[in-house]
Amino acid sequence: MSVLGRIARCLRPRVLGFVALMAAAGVCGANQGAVYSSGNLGPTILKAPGHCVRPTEWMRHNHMKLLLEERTEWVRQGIRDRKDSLENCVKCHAADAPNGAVFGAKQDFCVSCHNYAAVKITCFECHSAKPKGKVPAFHPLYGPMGPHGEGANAHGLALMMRESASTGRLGLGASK
Amino acid sequence: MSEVNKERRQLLGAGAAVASLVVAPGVFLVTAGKGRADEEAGEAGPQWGKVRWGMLVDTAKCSSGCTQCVSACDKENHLSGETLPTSSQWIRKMELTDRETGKSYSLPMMCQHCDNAPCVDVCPTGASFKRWDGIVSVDRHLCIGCRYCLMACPYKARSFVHHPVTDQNPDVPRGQGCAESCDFCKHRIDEGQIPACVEACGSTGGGALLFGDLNDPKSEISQRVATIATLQVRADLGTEPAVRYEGIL
Amino acid sequence: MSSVVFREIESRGKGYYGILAALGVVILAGLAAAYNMETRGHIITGMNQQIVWGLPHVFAVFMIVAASGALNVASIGSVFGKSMYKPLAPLSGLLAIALLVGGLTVLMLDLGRPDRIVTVAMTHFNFSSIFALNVFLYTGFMTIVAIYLWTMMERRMNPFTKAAGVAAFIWRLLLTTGTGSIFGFLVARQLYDSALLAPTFIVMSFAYGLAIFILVLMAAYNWTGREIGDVIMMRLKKLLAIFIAAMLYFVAVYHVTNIYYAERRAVEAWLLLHGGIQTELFWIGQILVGSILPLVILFHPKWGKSRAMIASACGLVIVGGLIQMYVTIIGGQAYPLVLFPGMKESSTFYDGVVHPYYPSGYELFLGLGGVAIALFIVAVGIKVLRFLPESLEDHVVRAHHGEGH
Repeated sequence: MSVLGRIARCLRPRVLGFVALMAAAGVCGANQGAVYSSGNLGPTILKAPGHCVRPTEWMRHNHMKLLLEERTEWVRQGIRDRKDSLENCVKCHAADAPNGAVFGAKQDFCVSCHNYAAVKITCFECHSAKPKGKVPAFHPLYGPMGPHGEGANAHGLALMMRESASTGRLGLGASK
Repeated sequence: MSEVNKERRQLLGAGAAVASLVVAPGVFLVTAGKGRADEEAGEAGPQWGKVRWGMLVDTAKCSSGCTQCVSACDKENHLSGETLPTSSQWIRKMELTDRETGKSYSLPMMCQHCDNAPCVDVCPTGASFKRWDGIVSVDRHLCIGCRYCLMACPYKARSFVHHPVTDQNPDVPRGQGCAESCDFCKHRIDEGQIPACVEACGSTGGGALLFGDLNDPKSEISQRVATIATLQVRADLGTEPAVRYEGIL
Repeated sequence: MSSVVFREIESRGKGYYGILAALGVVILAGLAAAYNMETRGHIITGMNQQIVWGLPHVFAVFMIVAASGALNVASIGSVFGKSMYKPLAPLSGLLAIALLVGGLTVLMLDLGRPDRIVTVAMTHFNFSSIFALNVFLYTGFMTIVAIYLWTMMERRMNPFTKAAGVAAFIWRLLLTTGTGSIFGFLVARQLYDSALLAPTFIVMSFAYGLAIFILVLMAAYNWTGREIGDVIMMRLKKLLAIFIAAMLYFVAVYHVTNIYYAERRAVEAWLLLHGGIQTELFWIGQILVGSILPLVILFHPKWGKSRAMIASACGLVIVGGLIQMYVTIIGGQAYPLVLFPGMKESSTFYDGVVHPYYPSGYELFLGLGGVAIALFIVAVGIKVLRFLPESLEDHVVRAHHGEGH
């Protein structure tokens, strides 16, 4: 009992700190839309153009359930016209990102929050974090024509794959 | 929900129009979009067995040097195009020579979209599955990478992703540690288009591939397989593939 | 029951902790290999699209098969009433659980997505898959053997030992049938598609499990200064010889049947005559080292009485068994699939050619890590709980044997 008590005492300040962080997150949530940073405490959330398929507060808590439901219909039944598909999420939320993606850099839409909450994202191990048909002109693999243009270069892609194979899977140390 | 369905129908209607526009020489694909559109108009949501996508390969029109279908597949699905022992290959050109007569054939080999798919039977988690329209593919969310499907497939159609993948086609997610194979470009089919290999074979290849709905008796493919001799590869195994080959009996 | 006293082994020796430390190092190396395979992908292994199951599966399947076999000694005691084996039953159960845990660890860490073991593999089941059924066969086996051990080691539970023993025996037969069927159900591959693989795996499990059991028993008694008498040693030795002979019989029937099918003559000719490394491994490893030599040793009038030679025979059975698994798993994949019978096939996807396989250090260490986990569990188990009888000298065994009649 005494050991447990000691552990509990050690934990208490940390628990309080966690509550404070959560409160900060709540404040951050209230400021929906705008590029927001609460100093060192909260995540930076990039603003996306237009309106979300659900209220921001609801999405903050339930986006994973929505994606789970949507993915089953998409993959197993081929229902591809849902507005709340991952592909559409990416389309909006990568639109104004500096690197045109929702995942890959620290400030990206998915990464900033997930890093903050210390929840690993596995979506983009398979899914593209960039919207369809919007590959930057300077992309090393594809020329200005995009992935289906003349610039498609299998050799370049192979090189990159081999490179990424030796450097580890795409991801961020903090989210591992 | 009804609004969603209406929207979907409109989208599919547009898709059907696209499908009939991209019909290539020797490839009649009016049914590709139409079958799906009919299905959607009548029923709400996918209906099991209403559609069964299939392919007919005319080996007489498939020449041994041509790899248009393979290149198109690599490009569409963002495969590396490499042929290392560890590379994924969703479609490959096979060269066959009869051991006794010396007659040779060339043909594409890919997932045969079996009715009784061994990969579906052996998959421990149900990741390997057959869709309502007969397309066999991997639900990568459920794949644990055990590779039992690679062991079980009689056609060597499955590949395993051996390394991290970047820059996927947004329509074709694929990644490390999961099994994968040809899915008849289901992302294109769902939008009323035909598989990339069929399109490429029709435009720059020999026009050897015919794609359509085997369950629609009026479709070109149904009428052809009803009148000419075709082969299902390893039919003795009872897997009932949706891909048939003509000119190789 | 005064004749047999069970004791934990003493812990004074530095040797014991040395062994634990050495095993710990191997386990860490195995985990490091698995971590590398998960983060960098299977590209770092020797496995590819042709040889999709490699060295980790050789180790894993061997240990899983041996696990069910290790339980035999207990089964002979409680199920078939040979009370002479009863003092060995607890160790037999412990070894079975340890080997299964070791084998399953390797199997799971070799998955492409080991992060999904709990989130997907344990929650989504396709019951037409023998893999999915095996999840239940394996966990059920561990539970039943644990209960079996409890009935043996807790005096008040002793009356239930026979019932638990029977349940465990039936379950182990199902388990090995399930393991053999992983391969037996693969209709497309000529070296697998056979119902004979399930009973063959059961007989293999008898031999491997007993060989491992005898070695562990001898090691545990030698290093702790306890005695094993000739009566029990000769019994175990004869039993091992019978299992090896049965294994040879099943292997012979399997290949002769295949040769009789004209369709499979090419693949049999490849494996038995001109398959290069696979042919050598089959004849020298599986048949000579794994079966013939141990049989000669065990039946030899002089060698058959030497403890060192009996231990060597057990070692040969284990080495031969690993090679037999290698030939079964790698050899079965190395021969190309026949898509068009009667045709010569070629493609960029390596159709129509025999597939080479060069295992990497990562795979080797992952496999050895699993072995180390199994041995670690045994080493800790016999130290903290009373698995081992204090003595297995002849008078103890005879007294107990007499009591059973």
